[in-house]
Amino acid sequence: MRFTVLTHKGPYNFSSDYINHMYPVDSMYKACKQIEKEPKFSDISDTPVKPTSLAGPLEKLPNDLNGVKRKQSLLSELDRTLNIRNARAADRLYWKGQSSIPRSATRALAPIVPSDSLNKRTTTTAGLAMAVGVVVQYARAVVLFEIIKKEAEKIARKAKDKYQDSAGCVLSINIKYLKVKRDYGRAPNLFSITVDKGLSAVSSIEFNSIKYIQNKVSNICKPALSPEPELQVKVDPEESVDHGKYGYAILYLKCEW
Amino acid sequence: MNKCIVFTSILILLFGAGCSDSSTPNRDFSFEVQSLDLDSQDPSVYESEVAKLKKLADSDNPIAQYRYADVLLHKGSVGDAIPYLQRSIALGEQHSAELLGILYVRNDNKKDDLEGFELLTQAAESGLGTAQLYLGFCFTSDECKLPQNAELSYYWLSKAKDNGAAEANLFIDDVSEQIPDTALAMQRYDENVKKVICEIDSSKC
Repeated sequence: MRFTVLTHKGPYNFSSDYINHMYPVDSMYKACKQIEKEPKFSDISDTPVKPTSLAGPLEKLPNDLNGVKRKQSLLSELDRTLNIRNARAADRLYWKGQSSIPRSATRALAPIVPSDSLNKRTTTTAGLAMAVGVVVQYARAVVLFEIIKKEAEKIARKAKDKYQDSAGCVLSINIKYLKVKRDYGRAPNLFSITVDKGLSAVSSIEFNSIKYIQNKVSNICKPALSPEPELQVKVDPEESVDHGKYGYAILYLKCEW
Repeated sequence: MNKCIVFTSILILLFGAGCSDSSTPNRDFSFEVQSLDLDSQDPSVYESEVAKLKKLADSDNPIAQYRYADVLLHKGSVGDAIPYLQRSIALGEQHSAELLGILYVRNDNKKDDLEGFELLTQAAESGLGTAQLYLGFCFTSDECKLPQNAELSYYWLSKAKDNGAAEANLFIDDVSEQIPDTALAMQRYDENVKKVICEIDSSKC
């Protein structure tokens, strides 16, 4: 049985650094919601520059303020106005207690980027998990790794028996951690392991992990009722998701047999 | 007579004040670490908080020593992390014993196995769930370097379960099938610990 970690950047070997490839559900969902709530740029009309103040011919004028200079001053005035608008949009979000969300027009002002398009800026030196705040106790990460490995093998074997002629499967592994700050750092627990998809011999070869994860990530922003999974192991079958108390993160694993 | 009594009490007070150590007020190690923003997503903020954590660790805060060692381990600096863990253990920090125990048991040096086992046992006996779970898992795993011992595995898995580690439920049934009498396994804890120590290092038999 061979396991590979699936990420939006491509596949990785399943090893004890798996924690760097987990997707934190809450922060990604929050980022999506903030993007939706962000006021439209065109809605911010309050500008100190009168729209008519810059009107006028661009040809050479008797006072030697020629067209090029005039166009230049118009553009720089537009830049300034744009900056004022950007700052105002960021301020409004800030005073509402929200982070300012980057977009193509305001990228320079934005401290973070949306999590549904995680890129180099959020995954700089310390890896994805560090960037999104799923830094866990090293000891706990080791224990979880051993548990996930063993349980993933068990469920993959069940999937092999269930899906005839299959060559592999995709598993989503959910962990949960207390949201409150703890002296010794986060100590997550395994929440569930679900078989997301069975892979046939052909689909296993053609499987595009980047596309698959991008779809999964964008679906986090549009939660919808999904059918009960056919194959799932829940550590505590009675326990339901509690977003108030716990944060959740997902690891995607591809298994091949 | 009264003067004598007043004089004696002043002397006693002065002596008492001299003996008490007012230069080092009780430190709240937990608060010192809690005040740091180690979950910051801003790399520059995070780095500065880690620098503060290092200062706390260097000033003998055992929790900070554990957390700083944890940061170093996440960066892959095992050699730098171990001295901090050892200092923290010397100050009585069981989380550090747990972490160093796991590092020793998982490394390739056979000489560290016994110390790793003893540290993990110490942490598990103090009630740390991760150490209990690791020991419970390890004694029946082929990949673990500790000798196989289903009774000890059952002992620690049931302790971890009682301690609220739900993951123990995933393994405890399989392990209990491997032992004839679960009650006996709980009773024979000390005996099994000695047996494992003997198997790791025959000179300790």
